[in-house]
Amino acid sequence: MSKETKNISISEEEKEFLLTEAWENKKDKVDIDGSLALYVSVASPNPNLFLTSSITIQMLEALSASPQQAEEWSRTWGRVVVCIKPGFEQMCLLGEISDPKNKLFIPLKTKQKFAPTEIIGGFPNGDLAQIVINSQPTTIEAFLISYVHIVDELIWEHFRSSGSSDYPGALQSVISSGFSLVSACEDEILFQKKGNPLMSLRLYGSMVNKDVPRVMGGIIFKGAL
Amino acid sequence: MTIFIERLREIKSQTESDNSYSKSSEPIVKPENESFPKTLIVLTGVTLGKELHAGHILLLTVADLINSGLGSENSVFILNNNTGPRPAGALLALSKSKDLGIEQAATLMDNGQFSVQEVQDAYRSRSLSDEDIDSTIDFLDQSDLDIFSVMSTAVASSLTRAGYDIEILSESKSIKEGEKVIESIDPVWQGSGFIAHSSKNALRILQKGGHLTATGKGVASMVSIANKFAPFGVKPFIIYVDSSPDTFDSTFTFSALGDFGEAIAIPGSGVSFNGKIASGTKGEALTISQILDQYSKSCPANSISLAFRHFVLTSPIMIIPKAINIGEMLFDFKDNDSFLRALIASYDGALKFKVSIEHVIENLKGKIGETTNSSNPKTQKWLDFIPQKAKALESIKIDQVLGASKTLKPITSPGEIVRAVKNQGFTGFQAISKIQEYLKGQKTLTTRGNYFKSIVDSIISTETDIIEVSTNDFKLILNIIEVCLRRMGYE
Repeated sequence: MSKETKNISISEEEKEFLLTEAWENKKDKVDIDGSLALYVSVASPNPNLFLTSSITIQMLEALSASPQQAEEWSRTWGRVVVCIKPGFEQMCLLGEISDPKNKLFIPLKTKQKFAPTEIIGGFPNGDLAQIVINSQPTTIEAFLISYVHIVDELIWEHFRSSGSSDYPGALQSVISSGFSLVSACEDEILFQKKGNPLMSLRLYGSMVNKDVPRVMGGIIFKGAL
Repeated sequence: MTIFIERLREIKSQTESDNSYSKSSEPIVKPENESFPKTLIVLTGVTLGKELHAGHILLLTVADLINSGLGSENSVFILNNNTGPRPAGALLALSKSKDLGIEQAATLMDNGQFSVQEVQDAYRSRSLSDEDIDSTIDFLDQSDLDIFSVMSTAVASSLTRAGYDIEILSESKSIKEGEKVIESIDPVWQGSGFIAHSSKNALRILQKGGHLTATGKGVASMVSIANKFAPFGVKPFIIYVDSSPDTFDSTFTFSALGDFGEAIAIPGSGVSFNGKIASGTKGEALTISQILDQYSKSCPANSISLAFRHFVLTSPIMIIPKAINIGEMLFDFKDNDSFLRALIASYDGALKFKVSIEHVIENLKGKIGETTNSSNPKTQKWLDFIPQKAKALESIKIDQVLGASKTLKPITSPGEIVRAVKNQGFTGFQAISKIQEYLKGQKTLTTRGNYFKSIVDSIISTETDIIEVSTNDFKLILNIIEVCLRRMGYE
């Protein structure tokens, strides 16, 4: 899904409206600083399909290991720390920010940028939803911040749409049914949102990392495609 | 339907074998007992945006004592920290006040076109919240300009006048040469803009967002200094005198790299007024010029390095127990006048120390006989090993000298505490409060150890126990005293 193959027609006013609407839609989440963070520790700065696949597995395993904490983490907009740890072990860990053990994770800050499109080819096609991630060239840590947030968005929106209080069930459903992954530029994502109000956008609100795009991506459930 | 996560696992295992992922290798740590010829380099770092103040001179004196203690033939190296946020703030302030572009202002500063006062004013008026601060930091990191060159020349002149043997090195030039080594530390992360060194349970970040961190700059500087000052094929042993955690990290990393030599960090000591660290930037501590002006009214100007040496070796250091930052080892005074009085008293103390040694030698001369014996069994034991002690001094080990300089001897006697607080200039209620803090253990007063001074002190204190000394042992004692005084810089 590239810009060349689509005829994108969206004005600045429409974009502004969609962004404001997405910003104001809190999706049953709470605007407080959560006590939890998902620590995504990488072993290499090289972006590739291996990294995306293994981070996905590790993230879903980490959330499944403590679903109550995972729900709490997601409800408070899921803080993500892309980092390294002694020994350069790749892993995902959902943990308390105040836990001294988690001080061993050092936030990553690289400078090399790459296009996410380059590394998501070959990602399996899951049945539950399609994730559209922003294709803006970015650093490895900014990409992973976007990616983890957008997967979190998928689980949360699936949980909300089920109308139940079964976050673990929604998580298991994502694990078993999966999702497909495509990339698109910000205009394309907003253009899709304009045509499909059911698409759920995820914005980057903290702006701590300057390389993370403000529209990290969107979710389209397969039934709504 | 195949479970989605299983399909991801398949992809992971398929790509694992052929993707560029590889675990960063653990650094090679040189075995402790590996021996190699060593060149000693004693180093300390100062931001020369302003004239040195009392705290810097004390830091330099600790370095100077280690340099002479190890018998190094090199000067003490001062790394002029002319990169990073504070120098960038000074460059921005000067460029604005002179209406010059950043590059033009930096080039003129490197050429020494501005006066000491102009550079100092710019440093003092710096703002780290300027919108151009990040780009100016980048500029300084990438250039090899020494924006504090004029201050560097002035400081070198003042320190030489004060009797110090120093060489000032520009950090911007040093890190430029060493940065390539940092980049090549870990092939997996090379070119990413992020380089870390992992060892056991610690990570040390050397480069972040494409820029060297303070730890990375320390490592790069030491690599450059090692290449420049160690003879070909000889690995240096660098002693970095500084109390910042970054210095400890950079010396550890430098040693762990294995290829360039070894390095160790030794904490310095600063000066504080009533427990509050004195800074030169805000003008609380006297500058070297002010100290020299005042000091030379009552003592010879070129004796000030001796006064500082005696000061460091004898003045009590205040320590806050369990302090996280070991930099919180301070010579505490009521004010600048009290500090100055103590410094002048240290010159007198150094002279008295020399006189007491002369008395000991004279007394021993009068006791020369056939044998060596003492009225005190403990002193006799010491005397029995004089030949071995004299021999040991010829092959003194680095660890012994450094170990002693890190040793802190607590002052516990109430009388000594009262005397120390009085000498720090405190009186009345303030003095009582200080004394109570030390007696209750809320703070501790200690003195810094010195391998050679402890030997001379023991000779002075046991001389009266000696009944008779043989000619040979007398010569050996004289030799021990001579070596110790030379290594203390008291000649």
